[in-house]
Amino acid sequence: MSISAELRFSTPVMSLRLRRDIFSVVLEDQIYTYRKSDLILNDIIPTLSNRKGLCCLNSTGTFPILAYLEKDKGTIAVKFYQDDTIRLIKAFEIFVAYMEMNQDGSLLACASVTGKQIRVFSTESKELLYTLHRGIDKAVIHCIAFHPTLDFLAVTSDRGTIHVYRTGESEGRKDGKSVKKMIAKYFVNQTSYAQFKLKNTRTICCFAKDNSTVILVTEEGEYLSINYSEPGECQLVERYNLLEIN
Amino acid sequence: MEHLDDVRFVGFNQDHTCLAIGTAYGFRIMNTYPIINYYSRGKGINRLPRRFFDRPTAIPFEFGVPGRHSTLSVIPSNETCDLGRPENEYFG
Repeated sequence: MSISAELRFSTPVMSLRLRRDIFSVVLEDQIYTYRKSDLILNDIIPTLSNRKGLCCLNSTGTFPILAYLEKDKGTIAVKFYQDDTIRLIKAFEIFVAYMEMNQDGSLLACASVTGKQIRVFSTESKELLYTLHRGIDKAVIHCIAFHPTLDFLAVTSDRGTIHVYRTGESEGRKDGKSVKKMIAKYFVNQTSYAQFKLKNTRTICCFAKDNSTVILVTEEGEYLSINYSEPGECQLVERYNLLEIN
Repeated sequence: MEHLDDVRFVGFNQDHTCLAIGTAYGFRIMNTYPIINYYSRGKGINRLPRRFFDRPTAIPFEFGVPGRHSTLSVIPSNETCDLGRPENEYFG
């Protein structure tokens, strides 16, 4: 494995976001976007101080959609490269602590530093679609994951409980287009549909494509698959140590 | 293999079909579900940023923080695990 190029920055790289045609390098107060084919610098965006490297880039769709922290606290900017427009979403009155976009960039889920609510917005209309309640105690959100069909959303936090929310997004899709207004009226506020208690460790999550399994990976390298097909407590299906799998 | 305490990174790719775990001594890329090992690399990597590879053209990046500077290394996809061809490119 050889290195074909190196990019040097005067400050630490906080995170990277990639798609087929471009990638974004997230620094503490700037985002550099490069064309992947020839590493030409395409865009420089100033951001709010961003030590967590928060940034989202859609992975599917013809045109890139980039979400980043606007300088005004609690505001997320969504840049549509198709027409170079920027939409500002006032997500919270306080600082944003985590955000995640679905694969095509149509939805943006975010949490504030209190971690009590997850808010899901339409990136195109800036409309608040759902407010998902995690709990009444303060929490640090570690991961938000959209189900591929957008029917569910999973959240992990430092409280140790994984919450799965039923959003029913695909039920509102007709001819490939979402009718989110209709869903927003129905699902505007809700608590989690299923939960799973894990020890208080940093955990990331995603949905398997079988419509019943959430994958959890802890910072210690533990892999868990849990079944959320029934509401309430999720059932543990598999548990492995990733460093010991051959 | 490595001790559990050595884990420095865990992360999924964009469509969550692969996951990666990086340690002080190397990294491995696995199919997420069912869990199957795709690729392993031994020593010589310091830190793997989140979403360090994408699919179908897998291009890993690695970076270290020597002093106050950061270096981001670009590795050609055909030397890693090229899983297909891109379907569309905006910045061509």
